[in-house]
Amino acid sequence: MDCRAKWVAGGEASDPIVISSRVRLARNLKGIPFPGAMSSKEGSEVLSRVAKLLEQKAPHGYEVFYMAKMPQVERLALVEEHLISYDLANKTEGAVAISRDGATSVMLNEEDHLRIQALLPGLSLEEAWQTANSCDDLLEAELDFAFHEDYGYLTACPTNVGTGMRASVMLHLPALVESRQIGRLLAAIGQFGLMARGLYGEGTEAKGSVFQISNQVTCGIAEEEIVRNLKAVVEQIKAQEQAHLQKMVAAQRLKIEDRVYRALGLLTNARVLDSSEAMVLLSELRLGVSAGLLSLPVGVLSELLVLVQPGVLQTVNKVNLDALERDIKRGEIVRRRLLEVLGREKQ
Amino acid sequence: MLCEECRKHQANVHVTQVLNGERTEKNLCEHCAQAMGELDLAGLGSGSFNINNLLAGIMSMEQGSLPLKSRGMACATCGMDYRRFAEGGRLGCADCYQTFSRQLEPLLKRIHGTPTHQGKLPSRGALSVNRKRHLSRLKGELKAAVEQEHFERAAELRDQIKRVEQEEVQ
Ligand SMILES: [Zn+2]
Ligand SMILES: [Zn+2]
Ligand SMILES: [Zn+2]
Repeated sequence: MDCRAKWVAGGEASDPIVISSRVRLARNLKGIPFPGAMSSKEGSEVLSRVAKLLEQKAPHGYEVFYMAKMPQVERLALVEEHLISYDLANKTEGAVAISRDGATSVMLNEEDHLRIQALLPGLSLEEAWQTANSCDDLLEAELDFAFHEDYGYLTACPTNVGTGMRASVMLHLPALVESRQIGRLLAAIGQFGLMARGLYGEGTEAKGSVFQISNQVTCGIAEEEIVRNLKAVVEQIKAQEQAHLQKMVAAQRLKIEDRVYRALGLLTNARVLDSSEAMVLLSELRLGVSAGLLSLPVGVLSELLVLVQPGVLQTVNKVNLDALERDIKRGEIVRRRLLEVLGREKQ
Repeated sequence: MLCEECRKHQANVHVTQVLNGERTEKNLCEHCAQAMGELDLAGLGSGSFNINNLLAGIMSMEQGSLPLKSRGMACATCGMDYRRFAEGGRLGCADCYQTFSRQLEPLLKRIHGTPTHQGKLPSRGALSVNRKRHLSRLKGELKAAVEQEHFERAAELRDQIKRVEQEEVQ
């Protein structure tokens, strides 16, 4: 019962506010039209050239998964682990190469021929950049990428041209949401060449106060500087979240403690748990840990964030379940995992 | 300026929202900006801060002011035409950047500020970039040497150019 992706696998995460850091590089092979305009023969050529390289040359080897050969539920699981995009999951020419440690995944034939991404727990943007960069080095030793003297790396969408780099962090910001500071904050980060969006939104509902912040500008700025800018802003947001959280706790400690322990009570007892409810309650536990009101390893909370998703739930347990069966299984997994770590904490 | 939403408080937050290609800009007070933040939270899936929507928004604005001639332009390599690019926001191939360079320049400037790449160069590509720059410098020197009737130096430069060009072919 485990995830592949490094940002959740093994429960190593330790930052309750910065859930994960990601660096993604867009690359295209010289001489082949971008995926949106290529023939299926050219698509297969991209797959065979890049996939073979990654399987053979990489120091630890990559495992390649072809979208056309995967059941829908397993593709969904990869999306939920953030190893592939939703777009790739629906592309018949698409594939992904995943490193053995689950830190690097290379999407093939998504919007660009290659999307190299490194995804790590906590605020670790420099490390994510180094990881993605070394994968790029490995590939470009053998492949010619489309590159323009002025514009840099060429991409299907002009918003990615230049470095082809999108660095992002996933943040848990409940105190900023509740103190109604979030709107102003999100409006302000545009001035730093950054953009924000909510995650885990389905229809009209935001779940779990999770936001993703990333660089908007990709050309005319070096990779290290993109990382430095984003990191500086994230550190400030993190400090703001902590300050507002402390203010909240100082003003109404009992009320927040009650909320957190009610969430814990539900999660360790519920027999039927839908994913929406699970996300909201897990967010409450994370808030409790962040505020120092609850002692629980953050890594387990990150892991559960993914384990409760319908695709992962069915894939890691190797079963096909209907909605009710999923809710029952989800309750069981969350209950077991939490009771296990709570028992360990008490000793 | 007064807040465009409540018209009561001083507007001190400028908010740009792009929804499905529709761009709206508003000057709001802090209260209304906060309320808007909550709306953003509610409308997550609709991607109010989505970069692709932003691009499509800019593109459709610019298309209106584009001369008819460039609306029908197409890339000789992949067949992508400008109208399709403006609608979808995606180019078809590397050569599209040349084909549509005149239309792309202002767009790239708007998205990135200065659209001149900084940062990593591909190790193989960088060689040919450096070689091109080297070659054009040698050719400049050759022209100057000929003009100044330094024929010995000109002969040397010609040999050097030949060598670099041969390396290029290999
Ligand atoms: Zn107002
Ligand atoms: Zn107001
Ligand atoms: Zn083209």
